[in-house]
Parts: sequence; structure tokens; C-alpha cells
Amino acid sequence: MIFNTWTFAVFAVVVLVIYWLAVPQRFKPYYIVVAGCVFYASSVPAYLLLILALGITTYGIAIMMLRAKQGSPAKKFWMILGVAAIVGVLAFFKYSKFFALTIDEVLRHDVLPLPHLIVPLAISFFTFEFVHVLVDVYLGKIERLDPLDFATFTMFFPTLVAGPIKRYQSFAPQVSHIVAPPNETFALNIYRVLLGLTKKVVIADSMTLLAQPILTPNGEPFGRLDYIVAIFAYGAKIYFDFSGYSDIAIGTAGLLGIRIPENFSRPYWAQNISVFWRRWHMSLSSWIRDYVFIPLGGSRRPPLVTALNLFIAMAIAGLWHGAAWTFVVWGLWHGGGLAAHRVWSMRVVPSVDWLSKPGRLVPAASTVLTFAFVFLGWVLFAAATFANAATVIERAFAGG
Amino acid sequence: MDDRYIDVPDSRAPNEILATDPVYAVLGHSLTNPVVLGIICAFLAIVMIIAGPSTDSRFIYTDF
Amino acid sequence: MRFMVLVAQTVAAMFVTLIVADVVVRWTLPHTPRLNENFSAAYLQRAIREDHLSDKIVVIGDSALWGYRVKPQEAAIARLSSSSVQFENLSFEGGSPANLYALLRLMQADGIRPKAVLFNVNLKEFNAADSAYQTLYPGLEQLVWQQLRPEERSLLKPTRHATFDARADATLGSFWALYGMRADIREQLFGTPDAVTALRDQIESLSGETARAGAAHVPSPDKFMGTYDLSPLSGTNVEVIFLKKSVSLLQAEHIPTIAILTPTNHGLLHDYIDTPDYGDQLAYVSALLREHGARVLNYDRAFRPDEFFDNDHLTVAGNEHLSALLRKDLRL
Repeated sequence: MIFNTWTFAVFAVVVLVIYWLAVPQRFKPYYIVVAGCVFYASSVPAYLLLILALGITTYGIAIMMLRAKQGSPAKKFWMILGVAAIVGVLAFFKYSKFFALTIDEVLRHDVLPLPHLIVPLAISFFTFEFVHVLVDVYLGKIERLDPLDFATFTMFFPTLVAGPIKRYQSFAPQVSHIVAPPNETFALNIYRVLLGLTKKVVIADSMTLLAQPILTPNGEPFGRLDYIVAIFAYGAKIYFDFSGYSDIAIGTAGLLGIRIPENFSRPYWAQNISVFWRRWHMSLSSWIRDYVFIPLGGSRRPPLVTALNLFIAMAIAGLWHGAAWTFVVWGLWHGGGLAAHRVWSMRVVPSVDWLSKPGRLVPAASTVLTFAFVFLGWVLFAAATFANAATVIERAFAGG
Repeated sequence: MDDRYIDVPDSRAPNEILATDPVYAVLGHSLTNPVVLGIICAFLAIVMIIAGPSTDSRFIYTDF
Repeated sequence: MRFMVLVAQTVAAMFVTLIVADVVVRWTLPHTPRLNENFSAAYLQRAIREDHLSDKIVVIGDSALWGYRVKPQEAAIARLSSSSVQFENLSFEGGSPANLYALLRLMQADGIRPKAVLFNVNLKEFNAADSAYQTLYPGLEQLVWQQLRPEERSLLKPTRHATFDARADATLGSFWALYGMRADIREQLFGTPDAVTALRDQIESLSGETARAGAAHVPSPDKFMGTYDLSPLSGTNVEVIFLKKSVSLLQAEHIPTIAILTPTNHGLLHDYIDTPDYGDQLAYVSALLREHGARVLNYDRAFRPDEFFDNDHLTVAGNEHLSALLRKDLRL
């Protein structure tokens, strides 16, 4: 059930009206869980069993960890088992065909059969939330796991399709104390939902047409201007589509009396790539930071290792977006940008006066450069193959 | 991305959300007035209907 | 609960605003010389009910009579109306005998009897491989489907999906003018199906893509291979069935009927259609039409190749020629 359909509109209105008019306070979490099950089952009903099974597995393993002593080998064992199981399921459904294709290409022979699997809706999102819970229980950041709170966290329908990726510690306390938000907040959540819809329908969906040269660059070449416009259109499309979805999710959650994380904060105005990733898809970038970058050592390692960690973290972020090498290379592009910025900000800027005390020109130039870097990266993100990406770049800038 | 990454607030209060909203910049607090809000929402719906893209031009179902 | 009162007030304000917008749309959306390229069910219904069709000769044809690639006022039918005789052009791209029949049934259901009905018969539409074969235009299908008999519905391939969203779309569009006629509003405002298409056209004309695409798409005979199926027509062909139903209905209603055998570019299509089989198909169709009281105007070979854009769409000059022929043959 996607957000910009009448089906969802009717579903949301019915759920909300019953929620506030008929469901008693203490039953509201149960109601949210049931609504979430109905919502998820409307796509492929069988996969509801998958998310429930994974949720129960995650909960069970988390309880085993909570019973074990902090720092004990048993606790570590359960954490590794749980994370491996969750990531394994994700890898099976989303990446098995990708792995099989890659091996066949390397060996230049069809060795492995290509699986034909329907990827369960939102698997990338709920598996990341499960991993977050398991790791935070292991680290002692989650000390208590109420089954109803966890079930509500898992089946919270506003975020089931496309996030934001929630954090249990800030979500759970709200579940047992759901109150009608103040009038002002309620009204603004309605506005937020409509604004998100407008962003998605008017801008994002419209940009698909202008982005055609970048999405299907083969065949007769378009004019150079068409490709340049297509690159900007794709960047606009992906921002307004995703931030629009996030607005709808956040607004709908707010109408249920629950606050969830923001996901975007004017990312295209960022002055450097590091700030960009603090503003773009914030719930994902913070997850990558907390569960990939920091466990690898983060920035507390020697510079080369830190740079490598950045590449690895961003490659994983790229792979999370899609099962293709173009996404991995897109991630590496940003990893390279972050590593380069690190060197720039720590070595170059402090030693150059006009950079360390900039006027207006340097920030403006920085914003433009960051914008250009990000938008060039979108060519890789959008392309089905590296050859397509090269074709677009060539035709846009070399006129080839 | 680095360890000095400032923790993203779990969610911003409505005032923070609206800090960068262009409609709020014009209307201010009156955006929370139900009549004003209703008119704004109707306006957004009209914009979506008129400015939204068509799907296959002859086979328009839910391009809303 | 105070916030429910707030919600109710917000929703009420929203509805009032939308109702006002709807009234403005109904008053200001113009009645055009021909149907919009992507007309909606609501727009078609408005045209049928508000355009005084009983006082007019109603034209129900395909893109050839609609005026494909020429402006509305340059289309042949637009040139025909005068103070003594008014024409209403209900032709559209994808028109076919099945669509002709559906429109006639729609008018019949509303009790509308035009002064006469003029339509064109295009042999390509009897080809089972044609995209319009056995299908109705979606907006028309939405209006007429329930009125067709089960055996008529069984002959067609419905284009509407039976999903909740499609039904919600149709239901809302039936009373919410702004939503129901959004395709028409966009076309009136932007001249294209939507705003972004107008923007894209501007970009492509600046980039040279429009000129390049135009130069690359010169019609050549090979592009029309398979367009015409010249096997003998019979009563099992779905479009033949609907053509017969159409002229039978008109005959039963005593509505004067004029059928045009569509102008066809024999210069371009010589290798494919200049055969006895093509002539046999024309003869079959002509006989069927005359048998049911229709007057047949054979314009099949009445036009020069330079009066066409392609196989059957007339240029501005071609449309002028067509209107002159019609004026003469209909004694206007």
C-alpha cells in the first residue's frame, strides 16, 4: 500500500478516526500492531509471516541477551547469531541474485542458477531496525524490551514502507503514553502529510519525465541540454520523492500521537559532503555510523584506516539502496568524498588563512561544489550499468 | 560522517519543522488556525491535481 | 475532544474551498471545438449533455477526423460549422466502430437525437493487431460499460482495472469536476497532457531534440507494415460487428447517417494496400453501410500524398480539402 493512493488515504482516515474515537488508551498499541499487519499484508500477504517471524526471532534473541550477564560470551554469541540471521535473510531475498550474477560474470560461465524471488516490501528497513535493537541490547543501551512496545515498533505502519529508520529507545517510551497531541501539533501534522504528498506528486513524479535521458540513455542520443537537465531532474526527483515520503510518514505518525525521527534537513544546501550526510536520509546515515563505521573503529584509527572505514561504510550504504555494483560504486564515490573532505578540513583548512576564516565566497563555492559532487553521484545511482552512466556523462559534458 | 556527528534529535518540535517551511514563513502562527489550515490543504490538493503528472496519457487512473 | 473539533473545522474549511474551486472550474472550463487529446469521462459527459447535440450534426471519428497534428481550428470539421448547420466533433484518437457504437449508446441513454451522425470508417481498425481493436477509450468505457449488454461486453477487452483505486478514481471523478476533468484542465492550461510535458517540450526545442526527432521520424512505407490486415472481412470481426450495430441503431432511430471511407495515403502505402483484397474490404464495408441506410462518401483515394502527414492523417491543406469535399457533398 503506497502512500499516494486512494487506498492508503481511506485506510489512514479510517484507522485514525477509530483510533481516536473508539480505541481506549491502553489498547492503542494493540490497534497499531493490527493496523500494521493489515497494511503490510496488503502487499504480499505471505511476507507478513516473514516480518512477524523475524520480529519474534529478534525479540527472543534480545531476551536471551538481556538474561545473560553484560560482557559474557553467551551474550556475544546471541548477538552474533541474531545479527547473522537477520542479515542472512536480507541477503537471501535481496542479494542472492546479485551474488549469483557476480560470480557467473567473474567465472564467465553460468555456474549458479539465478533465483527468482520477490523482495519483501521494506525488508531493508525492518532488518536494519532489528539489527539496531539486537546490537543496542548487546551494548547495554536497551535494558528492557517490552513485547508490546517491540511489536508496535516493528509493525508501525507509517514507517513500514520507507522509514525513517526508528530507534527503539525513543519510540518505546511513547507507546505506553499515547496522548492526543496538542491542537497545534495535530494541525501541523495534517499539513505535513499534505505537503509530503504535494512534494511527491507534483515535483518528484513530474521529474521522472525530465530524467528519462539519464534513465534510458541508450538508443538515439538526446541533446546535451537534455542530459544536463536530466541530471538535475533526477537529483530533484530523488530528494522530493524520499523527503515527501518521510513527511507523510512523520505526519501520519504524529497524527497517531507518536514522534519519529526526521530524515532530511535541506541537504542540498550543505557546504561539504560531511554536512550533506548529516542532513540526507539522516536515519540511515546515523545507522551506518553507529552500526558500521564506529564498530570498525570510526575516526579513532590512523588516517588511512579511517579512510578505509569510510569507504566500507559508504559502500554498505550504497549496497543497501540496491543490489547492483553501480550502487556500491556510488557509495564508494561518497566514501571518497568524505575521506577527501576529512583530509581537507583537518590538514588544509587550518593552514590556509582565507579558508579558516572564510567570507561569503568560500561557503557559497563550497555549497556549489558539494551540490555538483552529489549530483554527479546521482548519475551512478540512476544508471542501470556503468556503461549507461559513462554514456550520460559523456553526452552531457563532452557532447559525445 | 565521523564520531563527532551530532546526534540527530529524535524528532523536532513543530516549530523546528516549520523553521524552514516557506508557507510558515509567510503565514506564521496562523497556519495552525483550522480555517487557514483547511484552505492551505485545499490549495495543496488543487496544486496536486492541476500540476501533477499524467500517467499514460489516455489511461489515467490514479495519477493523483 | 478538542482536537477532533479542530480536525472537523479543518476538513470543513478544506471542503468549502474545494467546492468553490469546483464551481469555478465548471463555469470557466471552455467547451472546445473538438475533444481534448486526453479527455476524461467527466468532460465527455459534459460535452454530450451541455453542447446541444440535438441541434447539431455529430461527428464521431478517429484521429483523422479529430485533426491529428493540426490545431483545433484547422481541423476539417471545425471549418464546416455555419450559422445554418452546426457540427460537434466527438472524434478522438483511437476511435473505432466499437467506440462509435459506445458513444451512440451513451447519447441514446441521455435521450439525445442529433440532426445527423457523420463518422469515418478506417480499414486499419478492423485489424486484430491494431491497438484500438476490441477496446474502448477509457473515459468512454467508464461511462458506457454498464449500459452495454453482456454479449457486447464479452466482445471487448476492458481497459479499466477492478482495483479499489480505479473505482475510487471513477467515483470521485463523477461528481468532483476539478478532479474528474483534471486531464482536460491540464490540457487547456499547458497545451500538453501535463505541466512537466510542456516543460520538457520547451527544453527539447532549446536542445534541438525536437528538430532532431522530427527529422528522424519521417514516415516511410516499412513503418506501416502490418497496419492493415487485408484478409476478407466477415461477421466474426469484432469491429465489423460493432459497425453493423452502430448503423442498425442509427437506422432504427431514423437518424440520417453519413459514413466517410477514410482518406488514405496510397502513395505511401502503395506496396501494402493497392491490391484487390483492399478493394474487397472497402466494398464489404460500403455494402454493409448502405444496407442500413447510411450514405457512403468514398474519400479513400481522393487525396494526394502531399496532403498527408503519414498514412491517414491530413495536413492543414489536406484538412482544407476534406472540408471542401464535405461542404460540396453535404451541400452546406
